[in-house]
Order: sequence, then C-alpha cells, then structure tokens
Amino acid sequence: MHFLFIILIATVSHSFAQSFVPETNVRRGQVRPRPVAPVGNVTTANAWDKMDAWSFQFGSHTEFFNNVQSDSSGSQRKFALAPTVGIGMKFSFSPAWKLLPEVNWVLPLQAGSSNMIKNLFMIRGDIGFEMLDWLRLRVGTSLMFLNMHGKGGKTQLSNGTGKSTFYNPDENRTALNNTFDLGAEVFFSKDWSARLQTYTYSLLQEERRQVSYTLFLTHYWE
Amino acid sequence: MKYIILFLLTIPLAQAFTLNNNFAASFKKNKVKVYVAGDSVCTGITAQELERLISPSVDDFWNEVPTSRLRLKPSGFSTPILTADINVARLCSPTDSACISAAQTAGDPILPPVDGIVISCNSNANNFTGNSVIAVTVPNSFASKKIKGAVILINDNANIAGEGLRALSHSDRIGVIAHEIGHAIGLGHADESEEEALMYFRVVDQRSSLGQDDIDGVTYLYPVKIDGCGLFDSLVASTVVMKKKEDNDDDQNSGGTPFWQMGIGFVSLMILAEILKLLKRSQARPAF
Repeated sequence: MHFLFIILIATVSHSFAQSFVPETNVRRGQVRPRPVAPVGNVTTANAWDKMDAWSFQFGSHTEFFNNVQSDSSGSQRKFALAPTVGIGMKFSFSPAWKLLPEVNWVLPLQAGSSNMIKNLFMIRGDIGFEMLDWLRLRVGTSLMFLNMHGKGGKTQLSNGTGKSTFYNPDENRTALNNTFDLGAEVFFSKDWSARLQTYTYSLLQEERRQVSYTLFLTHYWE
Repeated sequence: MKYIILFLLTIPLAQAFTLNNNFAASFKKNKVKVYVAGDSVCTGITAQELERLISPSVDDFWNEVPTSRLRLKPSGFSTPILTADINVARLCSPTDSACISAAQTAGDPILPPVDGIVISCNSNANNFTGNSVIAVTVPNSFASKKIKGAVILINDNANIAGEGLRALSHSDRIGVIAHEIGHAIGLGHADESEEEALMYFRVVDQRSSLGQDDIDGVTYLYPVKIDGCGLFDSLVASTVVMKKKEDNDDDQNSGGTPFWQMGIGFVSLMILAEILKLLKRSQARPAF
C-alpha cells in the first residue's frame, strides 16, 4: 500500500513538474525536437516568470450557509460578519487561463465567557477562467485549518431547576478539512475586484455536505 | 481603509460552548452507536416511538458537522441490562461518590457502565433535580479519560410537571433527545445568552439545526483530521490514515481514505497537469 502511494505521488509530481518545464528542456542529454517557432513566441523558462500579479484581499466569511441556527425561532444564518484577510498570486498560462494560489485567514474571534479563540486558515488554489473582460470564474480546492484554543476555567450555568458547574476548553486543537471550491470574481477596475468564493465541505458525503462562503474585495498589483 | 480594518477587528461575537467535565472527555471511536434500552418502559410514549426519534436527532444535528469526526449511528434496541432495572435504577457517574453513597443509602440499584449511548425512561425521582426536568444524561463509562458509554434517562416520574417529553411536540422531542446526546458526547450547556444553541438549557420554540456554539463544541471535542472532496484529500489523507477502515472503532482520524477516493484524486491531478501542459503548448505555438 505504501509502495503504491509512493508511486502515485511520484507520478503526479513528475506530471506536474513536466507541465512547468519548457519544451526546450534537456532530457537524458538530448534536446527534444519541437516545431520551429519565432523566437519571440517561445514560452518562458519557468513558472515564476508567469507570475504577473500579487493580490491582497479582505472580506467576510460565513460558515455553513443556511445550516446554522441563528435565533430561537429557527432562522438559519445566511451571513456572518467574520473578518477575513489574505494574499495571493496570479500566474497567467494563457490570456484566458490563470492559476491563482492564495492563503486566507479568518481573524481570531474572542468568544464570550469561554475565552475560546478560533482561527480559520485556508491554503487554497484556483484555476481561473477569464470569461469576460470583467468576469473571472474560478474552480479550485482548499485545505482548511480550523484551530481552536481555550483558556480553561469553569463557569456556573443554569441546569434544570438550579445551576451546575461546566468547564471551558483549555487545549489547542485543529480540525483539517479539504474543500471543493467555486468562485466568481467581478472586476470593477483593472486592479480591484469583488469575489464570491464558495467552499464545499464533504462533497461526496451528502449528509455532511455544507457550503461556506467568503465575500472578498481584492486588490491586484503587478 | 484603516477605519474599516479597525471596525472588522473589533466585531464582538459571543460564542461559548462548555464541556461537562474538566478533562474534555470524548468518545475515542469515530462511530458511536445510539440505542434505546431494550427493557425501557415509558408512560405515554412507546419504546418504538422513542427509537424513531434517534435518527432525526443525530442526522439533522450532530452528524451534519463536516469539521467533526464523530458519526452517531442509530442502532435500534440494546440488550437489556440484567443487573439493574433501567426504569428505576439510579444513574451515577463513576466519579460521583456523593451520588453513589446516596443511592446505596436509599437502597437504589446503580446502573452499570454501558457501551455507546443508551436511552431509557426512568421513574426514580432521585435522578432528576426537579419535576420540571425532562431528561438527564451522564457518561457513566470511561477508559483513561475517554468516554465509553453514556446513559440518557427520560423523566417518567408520575409527578412530572407538564408531563415531560410525552407532552412535547414531535420536533421538540427530537430537540430534547439531540440536546441530551450533546451531553452524552461530552458537551455542557451553552452560554445563557445563546438561545440559538442546541445546548441552551431550555427547550426553545423552534429547533432546526445546530447553533454555532454546538458546531464549535463538537469540532473541538472531535476534530476531523482530513475530510473532503477527493482531490488533495485523497493524497494528504493517505499519509495520515493510510490503512484505516471506515468502521475501525479505534480510529480517531476521519473515516479513512478509500481506494476509489484516492483514485479520483489521482485522476483529478493528472487531468489538471494535462490541462497545464496543453495551455503551455498552445501558448508556445507560433502565431499565424
């Protein structure tokens, strides 16, 4: 099993590496034959040369759209104000197709009496398709690191007809999820865009499938 | 711009789940079975009706959280406990010496440790702090700070105020059972300002899903290691839970990565690589 896994990783890594290597790369001491092309049209030497912009984004993250109770009358939460910041890069492999890696951070939220601190870090990547001058569609995936840290202690809360002692969490714990992501980004100037980014948890498990989303404002600079 | 950032950094969000013990006890297993006691006898509600409440109580609430590894599994009826009548016995935590000595003084039998979560009606008034209490839950079986079993007792005392669970609507009954299951898996009550949380101490008008506190609580107690769509999941998870099986009771990670899911991840990455290659070649082609 481990052997098979190593082969899979090696094959995928090799395939990915090849996708970034220029056609003129030397293999086993030989130059690969390639069509004659004008010098000005030859692809650049490595993937970093295709990076043409940095981005900074900020916005608000909503966890589990329409599946979290928000009041005692049974309403479901549609939007949460959870500040989020991030940075990203843009690699252009063609005028229409972009590779868009980024990291985002849903800022720690100090939580009431329990002194819980909750952080959500996203390491994510999208493939972007420039559908129109002002519209980019994205498909990608994220690794979601949800970290919670409690400061401990205990509290008295109502229980039945009296009060009971309950305990606040005192450890540092992290949940790790992988999500399937879709997004749409609208440019209202060359450097600024608004984006709806969705993250689908447990895509293949219907009973646990949940969709979170972030509304971003993004600034690009080259 | 700086005012926007300052505003975002100062948004107050009150979230506060608690635990019902001071060592964050949780089930070691990913899959925890939920039973109705085979010898449970209730007034005004049949054991079959009680059993039918379990599925919505777990599937519409605790099993919906993708950041939690916990899977509660409705499992019908348990075999009867032979050493004590679950309908009248006393429920004590093994560490609650006051409860144990009080039961011995009163001559009440004490419920033995159970595996999984067992639900029963019970008419012993000493188990409930008052006649208005609908149910009580105590994890009563531990193994090195891990919960092995918990018992949920529905108040079936003849003097119960408002007639307890049987007087509630179907949806409220589901909410009560889901709340007690929350205690069984290790959670305490939510902050008293958090009426939207399932772990709020009172029955509220409408209960449709977990609140944010409940989600945070079950995620804290049962953080999933990897779970997802079969892309990176397939490869990353393999390094974490290489040979875990879905039904492995000792697995504290996610349900494991089946081969077919690894396959999807592998094929997805290959397709992605081929797309990148094609893009590069199309860009390298001479213009006409």
